[in-house]
Amino acid sequence: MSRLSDMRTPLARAKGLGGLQDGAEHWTAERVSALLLGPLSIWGVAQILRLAGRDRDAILAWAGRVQNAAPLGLLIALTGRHAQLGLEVIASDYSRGWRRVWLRLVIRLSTLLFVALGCASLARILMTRTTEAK
Amino acid sequence: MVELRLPKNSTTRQGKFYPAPAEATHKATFQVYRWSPDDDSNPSLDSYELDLDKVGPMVLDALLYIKDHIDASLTFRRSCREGICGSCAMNIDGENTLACLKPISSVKGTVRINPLPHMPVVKDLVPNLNGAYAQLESIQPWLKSDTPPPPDTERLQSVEEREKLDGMWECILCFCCSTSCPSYWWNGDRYLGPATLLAANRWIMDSRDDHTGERLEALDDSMKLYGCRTIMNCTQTCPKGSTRQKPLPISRSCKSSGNSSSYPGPCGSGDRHPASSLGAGGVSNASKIVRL
Repeated sequence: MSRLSDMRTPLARAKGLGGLQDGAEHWTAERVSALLLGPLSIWGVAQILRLAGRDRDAILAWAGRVQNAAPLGLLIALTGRHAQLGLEVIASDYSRGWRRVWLRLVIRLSTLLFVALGCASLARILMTRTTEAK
Repeated sequence: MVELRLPKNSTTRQGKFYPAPAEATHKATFQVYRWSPDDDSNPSLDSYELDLDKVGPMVLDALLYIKDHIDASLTFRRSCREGICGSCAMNIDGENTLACLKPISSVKGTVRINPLPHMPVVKDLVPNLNGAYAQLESIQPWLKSDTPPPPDTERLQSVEEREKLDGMWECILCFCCSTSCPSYWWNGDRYLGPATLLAANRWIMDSRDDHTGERLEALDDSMKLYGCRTIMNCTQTCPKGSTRQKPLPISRSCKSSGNSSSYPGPCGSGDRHPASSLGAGGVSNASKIVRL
């Protein structure tokens, strides 16, 4: 709505819809996920460097161990969540109205898809390893 | 909403030049933003060359000299001329500050004077601050208490409780901070900006106020408070920056427990705490609502 067609008082515009109670949780989740991603990312990069040059079976064997799969799953989930939170902030800065609603929906769905694909792949590796062990 | 280019009718053009008298030896040029709502032309940058021997030491003195002796149509706000009313806030040499506190000698070369950035201009150096004032009013910057005051005395505070307000009560509402903030430029209709958030924080931290929870809930919004992107222009530009080094404790748990240890803040800047100055980012960071 352009300012010319907005006949509300400046105070009504300033108050808007009130506090939507969505700020504190978003802000906290962004920081907590960033904190957790710090050591997890270092671990992830270290593992990639360590596994560089190994063959496919060796890497699958590594990912099939629970002590590796658990942090790997966490890394995938937190990366998705952190990306979602960060991209939502960018969307709120750079878009308005329905465009913002759609943008947020796309961000949520795409990050969710990223996490789902990552976790499903990990589950597949784990299940394959379990079957092979039997 | 992000705007990376000036609208067509906001681009400036070169304006008139007023040379100093021939006998002037100690000269300086002041380039001043001029725009009048009375015609359709774009804003211009008029240049005034002044004899500094006839002008006081501050930029406000130069503006007053121009208005009194050269061009009476030059329009700007001023009142106390000693940095306490906040009227003469404007952008001088690329920084928002008070013209009455800015020495001419601190600027090298031409002194460029513009209105506070990204606000609608009423005329010349006078910005329209109606939106900012309304935002300030929206956070109800006054004591709200359902408890009647003691019949024979004022509402009392301990020394420690009073100290929590230091660094906040000094704000003179010049809006240098809010208008220096890109987040406020782009989303100023939804983000409250540093000055208003500092005022909100001031009343949230006041031990005599018993509406703390409501105040925090009113701010808990992805844009009203969390539109702060910790850009920190606010702390750089605050003309009352004497309190910059002082950390402010604030969070919901912090106040209720009476813990006055400094709140870590999202910036993690120890020496320049986000809430440090009277600036926007500072304020808003300090008042982030943490419910861990």
